[in-house]
Amino acid sequence: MDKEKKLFVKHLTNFLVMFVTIFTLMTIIFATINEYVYKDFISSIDLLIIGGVSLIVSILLLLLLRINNISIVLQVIMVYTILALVVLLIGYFVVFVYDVTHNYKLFVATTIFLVLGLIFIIIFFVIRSKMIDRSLNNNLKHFKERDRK
Amino acid sequence: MKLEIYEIDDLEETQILIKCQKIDYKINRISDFIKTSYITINGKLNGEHYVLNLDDIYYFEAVDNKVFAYVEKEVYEVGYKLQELVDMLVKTSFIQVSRTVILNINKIEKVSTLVNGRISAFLVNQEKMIITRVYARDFKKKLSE
Repeated sequence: MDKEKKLFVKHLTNFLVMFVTIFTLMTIIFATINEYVYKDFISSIDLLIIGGVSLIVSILLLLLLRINNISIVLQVIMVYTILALVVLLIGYFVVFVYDVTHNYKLFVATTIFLVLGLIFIIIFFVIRSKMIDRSLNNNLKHFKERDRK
Repeated sequence: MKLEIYEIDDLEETQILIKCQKIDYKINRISDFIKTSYITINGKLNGEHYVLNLDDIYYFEAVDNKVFAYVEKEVYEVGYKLQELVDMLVKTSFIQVSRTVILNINKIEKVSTLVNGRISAFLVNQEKMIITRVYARDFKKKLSE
């Protein structure tokens, strides 16, 4: 297999993984809300729209992840925020599970959990990044000391 | 351990002989140190030729098929290809950090991880170098050797 074909397969695999993840994530969220909150089923048209949106979002996120000159924390925050916004927008405009007039509690609860998730991700990545940096700098210090001896 | 050093006036080339029961880590370190101590880099600046001390070099950079050695203030053109330098300096504190740069680890003040596995290296002269993802693994390995 030549280099270009390998690269194409790699990009295609990345895209499929991203698409399946987003589509599954949204389907589970909306199906669960429909089932447990409204005792209803998610329709096939909704699934089609979710599929279409997942396709667009997957391409957008893959392009976003290819930008090299932004930090990993910012990248993760952007991916998470885009996904959160897509969930809220589809829930409001497509699946109609977020009714801010009659059932504002669900909308508020979802938003709060999404914000908490975002805060958790930021804290996790900041701590992880600091730990890796500390370990690398310790190794650097030891290397320089060893080299001086 | 016994160390003997003889000064011989008419000797053509310096010889170092190590006698040991077994070649261990320490002997290897001494051997590497001796080998790398005698590496000199010839650099050219304004038409003049200079012998550069490895410890003074911050990094080598390949630009338009030429390789330059960066010391604290001056930049010397060296007559080696980048890959030749990589092979020559494998046992030293130098490591290739990108397609065009070989960096002296001893001149790094601190490092910081970046997106996509890249590493940012802040040098003691306040310069900043990027260690690309391809070379970051070897860099980490060399630090933890």
